[in-house]
Amino acid sequence: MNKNQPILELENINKSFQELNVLKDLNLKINQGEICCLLGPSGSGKTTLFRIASGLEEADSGQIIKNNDPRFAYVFQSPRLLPWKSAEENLIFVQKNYGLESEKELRDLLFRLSGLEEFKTAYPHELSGGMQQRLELIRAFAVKPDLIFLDEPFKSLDMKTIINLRKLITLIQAETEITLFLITHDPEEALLLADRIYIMAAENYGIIKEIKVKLPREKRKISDSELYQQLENIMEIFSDLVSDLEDAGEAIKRIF
Amino acid sequence: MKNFIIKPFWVLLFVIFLIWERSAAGLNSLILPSIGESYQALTEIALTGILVESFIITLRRTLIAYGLAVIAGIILALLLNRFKLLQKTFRPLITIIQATPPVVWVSLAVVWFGVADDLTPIFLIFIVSMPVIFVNIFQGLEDMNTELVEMAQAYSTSKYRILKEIYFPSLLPALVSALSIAFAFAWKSSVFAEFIASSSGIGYQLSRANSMMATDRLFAWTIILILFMLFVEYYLLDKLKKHVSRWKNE
Repeated sequence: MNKNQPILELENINKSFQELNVLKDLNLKINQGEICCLLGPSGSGKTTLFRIASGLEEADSGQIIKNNDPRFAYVFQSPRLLPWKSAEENLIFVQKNYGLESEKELRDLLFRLSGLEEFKTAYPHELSGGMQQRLELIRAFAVKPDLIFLDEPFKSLDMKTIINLRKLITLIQAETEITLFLITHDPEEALLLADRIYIMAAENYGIIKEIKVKLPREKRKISDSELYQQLENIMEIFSDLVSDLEDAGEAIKRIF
Repeated sequence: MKNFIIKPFWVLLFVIFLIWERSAAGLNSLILPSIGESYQALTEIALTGILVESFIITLRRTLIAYGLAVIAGIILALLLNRFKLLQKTFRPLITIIQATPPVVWVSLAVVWFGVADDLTPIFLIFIVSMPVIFVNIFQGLEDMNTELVEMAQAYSTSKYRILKEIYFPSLLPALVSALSIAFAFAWKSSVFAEFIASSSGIGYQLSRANSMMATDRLFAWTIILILFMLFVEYYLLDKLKKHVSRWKNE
């Protein structure tokens, strides 16, 4: 498959839960080999869109076009590891579904890259939260996927682990050109990792803006003027979404 | 049996034996036989072969009915978990069965099957231990981590593998605990049913000892019953429990 060709396209997606509209006529495209970020505040429908795009949930209407039958892998917000299987057995569990269980070299490499070499035979409860999340991440790569869905994979992790995991992801992604679709609520993270950012807002029942980041990933720093400008733009969009509180001053003064 | 062989328990056992021996010394052996008399009665029943014969009869009945109860309990739990209409219909029935005292079931069994050697004990064991299995497995299914199942489905795992590698292992702790509780119920029900309505087995021997006022034999049989239950609980099931919870954070 050629780079820059769409691997997954969503057309006119609609989804509501009972009376509540979440997504309305949403369109989105993920290209082969890119890192695509879904950015938005809580309640903006990120997870719903993510679940629909990844096939975990069905849309009420609309079309999902997959090109060349891509293989999907998943990194969930909190690790979903089988507690009765060791770290390595957790990888083998998913590999078996694709006839990849004999790929020991791949597993060894992933364990080495993630620093979990010593913990192959450990059960998940013997690993720290950060290590479990690393295992969750390398499990996705263990199935040699075309597209990985990552649902806020760094949530509730410490800064050091986050930097560590970001490095790991971008390192493997750069070499393999596996497509990544990442949910985040952190604009900086989106700008540092993504080639394309979709900003979502509940008020619009979907995507309100698409941003492309052209600067090569290895050169990105938030202090870079171009990136900083993009961050400012995103923050502006977010603050427009916050309801106007100017009149509240009087009430605050009176009630306090 | 490591758990079992711990000092505090032996100390307690020693104290109980001491009190037993002291009390027996001042009482008629019809009321409370001494340890020596009970031991003698035990050797007597062992030497005449009644011990082994009755033990095998009771064990056989228990295992048949217990096996049936385990299978039925699991199938029922799976069905009621899968089909909500069945759940709404049959769930209260299980509670009714559980709420009915065993003595009622035995009385009914005698009416229905007569003083049948096998049928009455088997019926009682089944009716008493099946709900225990059912309730534990049913609860285990209700508490199933659906996120793991979703993960497996997302990675295109077959239904068979999901059943074998997610449902089964996550149910295993509930199953082992159900097996353990239900076996205690089964063993006691078996003896109870034999006591009331059978002409063989340990329960029947207890009933005979009772009617002949052979209190030493009563004690001897009771010791056998307790020893066997301890063996099952602390040896067989303990090993199984350790094995299934090896991946748990304890």
